[in-house]
Amino acid sequence: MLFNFANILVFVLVGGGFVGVSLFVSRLIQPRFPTLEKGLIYECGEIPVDNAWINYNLRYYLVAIIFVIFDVEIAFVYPVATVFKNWIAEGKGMIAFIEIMVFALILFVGLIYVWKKGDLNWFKEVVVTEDTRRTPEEATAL
Amino acid sequence: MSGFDILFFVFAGFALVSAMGVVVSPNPVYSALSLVLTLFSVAGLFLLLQAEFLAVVQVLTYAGAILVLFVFIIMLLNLSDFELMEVRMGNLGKALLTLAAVVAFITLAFVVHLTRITGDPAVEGFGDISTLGREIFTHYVIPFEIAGVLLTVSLIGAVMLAKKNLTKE
Amino acid sequence: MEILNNQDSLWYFLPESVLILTFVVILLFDLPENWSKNRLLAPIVATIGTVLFLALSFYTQQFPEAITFHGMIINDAFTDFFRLFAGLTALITIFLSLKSKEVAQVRAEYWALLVGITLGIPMLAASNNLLMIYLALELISILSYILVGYLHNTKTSSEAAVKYVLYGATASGVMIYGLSLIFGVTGTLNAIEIRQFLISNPAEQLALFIGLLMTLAGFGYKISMVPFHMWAPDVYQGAPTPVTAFLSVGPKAAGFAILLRFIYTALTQDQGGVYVPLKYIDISTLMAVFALATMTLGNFVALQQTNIKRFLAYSSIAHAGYMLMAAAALNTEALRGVIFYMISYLIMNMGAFAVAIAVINDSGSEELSAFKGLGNRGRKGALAAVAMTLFMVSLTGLPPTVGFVGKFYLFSAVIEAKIYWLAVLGVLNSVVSLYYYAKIIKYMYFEEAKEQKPFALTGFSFPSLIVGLAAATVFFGIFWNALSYLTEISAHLLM
Repeated sequence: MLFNFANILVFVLVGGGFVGVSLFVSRLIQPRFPTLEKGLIYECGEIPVDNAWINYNLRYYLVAIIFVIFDVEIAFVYPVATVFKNWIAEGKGMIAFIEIMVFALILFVGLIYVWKKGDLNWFKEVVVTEDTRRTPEEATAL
Repeated sequence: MSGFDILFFVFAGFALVSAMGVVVSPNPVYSALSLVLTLFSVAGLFLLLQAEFLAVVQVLTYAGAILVLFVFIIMLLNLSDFELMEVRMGNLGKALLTLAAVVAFITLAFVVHLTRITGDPAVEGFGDISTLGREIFTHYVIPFEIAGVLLTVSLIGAVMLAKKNLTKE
Repeated sequence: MEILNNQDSLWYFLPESVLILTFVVILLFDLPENWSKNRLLAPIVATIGTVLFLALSFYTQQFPEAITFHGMIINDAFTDFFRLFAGLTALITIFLSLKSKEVAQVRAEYWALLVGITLGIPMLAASNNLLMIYLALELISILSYILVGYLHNTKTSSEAAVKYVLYGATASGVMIYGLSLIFGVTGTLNAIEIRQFLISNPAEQLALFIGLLMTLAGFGYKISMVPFHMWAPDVYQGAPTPVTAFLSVGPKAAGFAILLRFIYTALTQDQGGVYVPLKYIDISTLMAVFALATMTLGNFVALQQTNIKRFLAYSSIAHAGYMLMAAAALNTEALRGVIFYMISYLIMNMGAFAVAIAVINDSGSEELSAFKGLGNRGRKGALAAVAMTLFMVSLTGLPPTVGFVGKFYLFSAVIEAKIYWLAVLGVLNSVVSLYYYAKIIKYMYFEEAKEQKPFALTGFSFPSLIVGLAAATVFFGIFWNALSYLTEISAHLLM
């Protein structure tokens, strides 16, 4: 069983080694003439403006945490799914089904909650002031 | 020294060094990235313990999802906030705390080294996914369901606290 | 001893299922937001759920005691008591929340979360498995963080929540490391099997001891045991006052329940009412030191407090110290004593918080000076002052109040266990506490109020709750037989 993971180990070693060796070799043989342009951060040919470190919107956090919760749910459900067939064969399918449904339904409540409260909507509301007169469609197109 | 031992020391070494990186890095984004490396190394240790499913979940959930969440939260805050976050403490305080941490670490390592850990896994064939599934269905049903409640509660709490106004108009 | 499988265990889980259902119902039915618009609907549903929970726990209490869900949860008299305790605490908190101006405008989620914590309390008290302990503890903790930070447009509330989360995450991290050490040494997660292992095997004492200390960090954090108490004053001050009242009673009692259950079940051997610590682990002395440190620090720092909530926070730390004596005494009397003490603490602390809420509603200030001259401010003021006086007398532990009887039981258990130094220092501590509790009484009667308007305590139900709690304080202080019967049947651990 453990031996299967040797494949992954080989991948990691070859991948890491390839990067390491290429960087090392290029460092050995490259000519070095640093200029200001070369030192700039590449931004599609544009000259970079301002700091890349901006304030992310709270929405990213909301979506991320909802994702984490359901990611964990999947991690729980996955092992159960692997033995479900055996349980049906043993005639205990219904019990297993109820157990898993209770778990899923409790989490489903959470999903309904965030859905209905609009936390899954990317555009919550569009505040129209004199400066930002945009319809939701225009905003989406941006 | 067998191949397993070498692998163990490689993973454990990476885990230690990157965990140190999380603590000492002045830049929170670098800390988060070091944490990814730590979690990967720990996943490697899980693999060596034949807990394959745990290793995969560790990579998917922790290194994948939770770290992304961390980075979002770091990005959510202002860069200038991090300058405020710097711990104001004299050198003596820092030295004492470091000393305490090192002593605690050595004690723990020493204790674990001396301990005769009962070798049996919690359940025969623990790392196997189907064993895990069977256990969840039988012995661990109630923790399983309570974990569901716990996840729901934290989801609702996190979403609720992120809102601006919790009191009705 | 009978260990039931999952299907048979379901009946025992009925009361808790009702709470889960109530939680879900409140959340789902509020989705169109019409429950949030009607101020009373959600709290009424929460009340119905809690009452149903209480009724069902009276029903399941008739079942034979059993270990359920393959050894995860123990249903014994001790568990039944904490179901009762959680239900009562929740009912009073729901009532206080309705009356407090701070949380007058909450949405329906608030009530759902309250029901959620109520679910965690008996689950934690009944846990027999380290994993179950951790899950139930986290359920209570996470819900507490959310409720503490509920008023997040006020800065103190958010600050309190952040501090609480940071301390809590650290404590539970340390705790789970400790649990893993215990598991590593004993090879089992089941508390009963841990005891059996320790009896039959010479244990790895050092690792076990360190694992135990780390586990205590998690439990100690929940009950605000020194040195894990640092969060308590800030959190108690920042949280909405009804939530503070709830935190100081409900989750704290749950923490005590699991601490006692774990120590008594896993680390001692029952020898006819005396629980003898297993060799190598002198848990008794360890807990005695913690108890003394906790009560001394709580009492001495409480002397300097000027904010009513911080004041009650330190008072609650001191009381945690008294209750910790039960973990040191290790006999049936101590179990009875701590159960009695918890009931008395529920009555007097909820009472003190009820008056505090009334005062905060009236003055808008959380300073102790808001109590000044309360006794001379009309009929309602006199009533609140008399009630507060009774609660303070009871918290000090003077007769004829329920607090005195509780302390009496606890101290006699400590003397029974022959830990005389702890008993003496505990009594001295009570004398110190007299000073600051008496300060409030002095403020209410012998100092001038800032403005001499009649005390605003309107309605019928809120004054009746305060009067009821005050009456219970005195009544059970004189006729404690009814309560001591309850404690006698509840002080039974299935192990």
